[in-house]
Amino acid sequence: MIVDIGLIALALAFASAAYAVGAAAYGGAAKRPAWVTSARYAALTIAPLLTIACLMVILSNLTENYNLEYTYRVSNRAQLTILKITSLWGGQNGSVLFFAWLMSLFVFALFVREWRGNRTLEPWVLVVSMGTQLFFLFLSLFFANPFARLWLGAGGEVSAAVIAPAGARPFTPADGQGLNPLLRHWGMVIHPPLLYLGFVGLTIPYAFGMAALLGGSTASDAAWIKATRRWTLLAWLFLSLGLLLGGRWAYDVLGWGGYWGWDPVENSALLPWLAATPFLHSVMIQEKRGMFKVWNMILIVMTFCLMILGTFMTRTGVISSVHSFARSSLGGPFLAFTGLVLIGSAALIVWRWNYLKSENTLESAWSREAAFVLNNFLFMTITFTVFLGTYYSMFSELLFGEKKMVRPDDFNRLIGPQVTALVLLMGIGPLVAWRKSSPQALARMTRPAALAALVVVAVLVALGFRDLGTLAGFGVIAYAGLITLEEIYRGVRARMKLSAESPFTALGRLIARNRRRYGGYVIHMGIILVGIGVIGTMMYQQETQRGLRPGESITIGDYTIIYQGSELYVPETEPDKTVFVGHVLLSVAGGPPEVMNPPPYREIFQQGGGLLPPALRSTPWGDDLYVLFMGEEGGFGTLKVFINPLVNWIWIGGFVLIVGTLAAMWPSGAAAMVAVKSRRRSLVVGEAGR
Amino acid sequence: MKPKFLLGGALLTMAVILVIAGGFAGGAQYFLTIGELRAKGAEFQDQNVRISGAVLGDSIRTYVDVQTPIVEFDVVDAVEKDGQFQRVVGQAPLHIVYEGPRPELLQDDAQAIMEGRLSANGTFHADTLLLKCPTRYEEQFPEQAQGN
Repeated sequence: MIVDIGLIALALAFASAAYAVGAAAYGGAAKRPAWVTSARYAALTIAPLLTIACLMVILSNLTENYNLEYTYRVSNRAQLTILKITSLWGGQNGSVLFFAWLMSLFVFALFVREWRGNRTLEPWVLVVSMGTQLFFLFLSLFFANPFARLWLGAGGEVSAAVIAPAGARPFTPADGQGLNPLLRHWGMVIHPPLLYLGFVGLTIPYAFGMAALLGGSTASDAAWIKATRRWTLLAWLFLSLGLLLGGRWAYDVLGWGGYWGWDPVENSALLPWLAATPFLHSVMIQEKRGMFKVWNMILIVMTFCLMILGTFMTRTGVISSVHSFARSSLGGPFLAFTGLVLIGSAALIVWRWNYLKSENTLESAWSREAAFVLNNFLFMTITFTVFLGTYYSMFSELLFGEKKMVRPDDFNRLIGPQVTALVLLMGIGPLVAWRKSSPQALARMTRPAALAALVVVAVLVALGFRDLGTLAGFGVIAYAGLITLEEIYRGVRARMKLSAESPFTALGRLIARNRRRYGGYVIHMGIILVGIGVIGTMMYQQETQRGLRPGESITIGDYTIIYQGSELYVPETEPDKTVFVGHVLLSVAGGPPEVMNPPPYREIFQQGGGLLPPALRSTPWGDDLYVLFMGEEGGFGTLKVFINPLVNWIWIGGFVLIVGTLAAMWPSGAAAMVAVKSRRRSLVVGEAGR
Repeated sequence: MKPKFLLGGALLTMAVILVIAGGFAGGAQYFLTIGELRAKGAEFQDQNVRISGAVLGDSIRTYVDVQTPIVEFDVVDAVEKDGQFQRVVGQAPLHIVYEGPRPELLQDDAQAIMEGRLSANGTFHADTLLLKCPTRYEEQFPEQAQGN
């Protein structure tokens, strides 16, 4: 029953999407608004239908219906109820459905209100967004159906199919296999949905871009960009959050001392972010100056293709990776769809070339426009580097017949200088005037920051740092960070002078009044802080490992860790897992030893695999001591210890980046309210001051 | 746009592609099967390479050497057939030495990926050891029938 309802809902959603594509295309081409309205209503049915389908999968998990193949694979009786729910996206077939569902929510939010924008765009936005939706529903229905059931054939063989094979009867195993142990951590429960939200969100700017091209003259103005700015920022926010949480999760449970390993799946989630970020920047030139129209189309097509490729990579084991939990049959359809998107989009851009003519030209190499060109160029070289490095083994095998892999060190070595240049530009860029500026003017404006950065470098040299990359990195971070802070400070001071506001009110109102500009500065500050942590961990991580008898100790930097013995137990809530705890004491700089709590431990799962969470101790300036208990063998417990300098600035910077993005995308209404409130308060403050 | 800019941009793009591709090519690590490593043993000796193979369960041995736990085991090549990995029959195994406690996943038929160096005596010293369960997680169905 549950299975049938889910399957019918999924099939209906597929039919709705197919109808919406056809009706919207006809309505748009033949100028028949009634058909477009009909298509819109069809599009609106998809979210409720897929909600039912998703609920049916969850219900099947909750009722322990192991006749359903998907429930059998991702759930078992011992599993916590919350995990029975979240295992909706814990395996391939469920996550494809889940992905389609998230996409339908975005589409629903976009079309639920009467269309108020450019009417010519509406049918084509429907065609493109519903076309993408249709593809994922097609995958879900025909290639990764979560409603396949288990059957026992006449010969005793078990198979999974939606429709009963001839002569087979339903088969229900006594218990399921359970969720992949790695996916049982809370970080792993929320990390995929966030990334997926970022991925599906990118469909909307792409759909608008293509709709602008399909509509003809609509391609020449920036209406499609203005209409999607917030959607793009929202998608970007989710992508950033997904990447940050993925890093944090790896740091907290995988036990290799790091947060980013240049793993192919990590990279393929980073790639859409790397293409969406320059898009967010370069659309500003189209809005302000009517330039870069073709380029912006290319960027959004690239972003969308990298998103599809990313989805594909996370779901298939094309390139060996810790993330590829299963290989799958989705490769063919994904490649076909990516090809279709690439060729179709390129054809549209060429077809509408005349509408994409630039209204202005670059007037000076010292202009905001030129700074944006450079920004885009650097983002493209970084994107290319990550792309090539990720797929290097494939290219090298195809072209030279040898299988070679790119190692993390090579990524760092090649990307480090490019990112340093980008951060430098991030500091200077916002200061450069539109149309024309001069190097002299820039030098004048940034002289204090430049001097301060030189002082930072001099202090580092005096402290004994000699590595050029580190000095350049911290120098650039100081320079760009100080410029950005100075810009914010200048705005705050002006407000304080003009309207006698307190510094905090002035800051709040400054951001509220010009959310896009100052939200952007806050995001830039977030990047600066992340940069501090990245340089610290990349260049100065320390590591040591040793087997210890109880009572023996290991020393790294100022820390001495004393091993006290191990303990083994099975948690009541998860009987299929064994926890192996290493008890340790920590003494800092010769001080009295204290118990590290929670201790380092390893979780071992019956099905194989496990987690290796560290014991952590942070310093006020952001370093982490990272202690791992690797196991016990022949009376020796092995401890592996890292010092991760400045690592916590990554999480702090990530938080700042999120706050900045929220500020930049917050709708005007709410911002106005904040402004009114703070004005009242400032009046009171003002009066009290008198 | 002026042709001057287009030409300049194209040249710059070419230069960037060459620099990045060259940068990767210089440092990239060979990913070899055991057969390939053997065939070109001299060429790869003392060079950091990545190899993969299937673990022979009977060969796993652990001990502690000067406070460092050591794991030794043998691997042979495995080929994928009908979604299952199968050992290559009749191949002489490669002996692996890895410093660290025995990982839980190190068991008979596990797929192992190792990074390290082949020494002159034919032993492979692994710095990194990645393991996957012998049968892939999502791959198999239960054996005993329990119809309803």
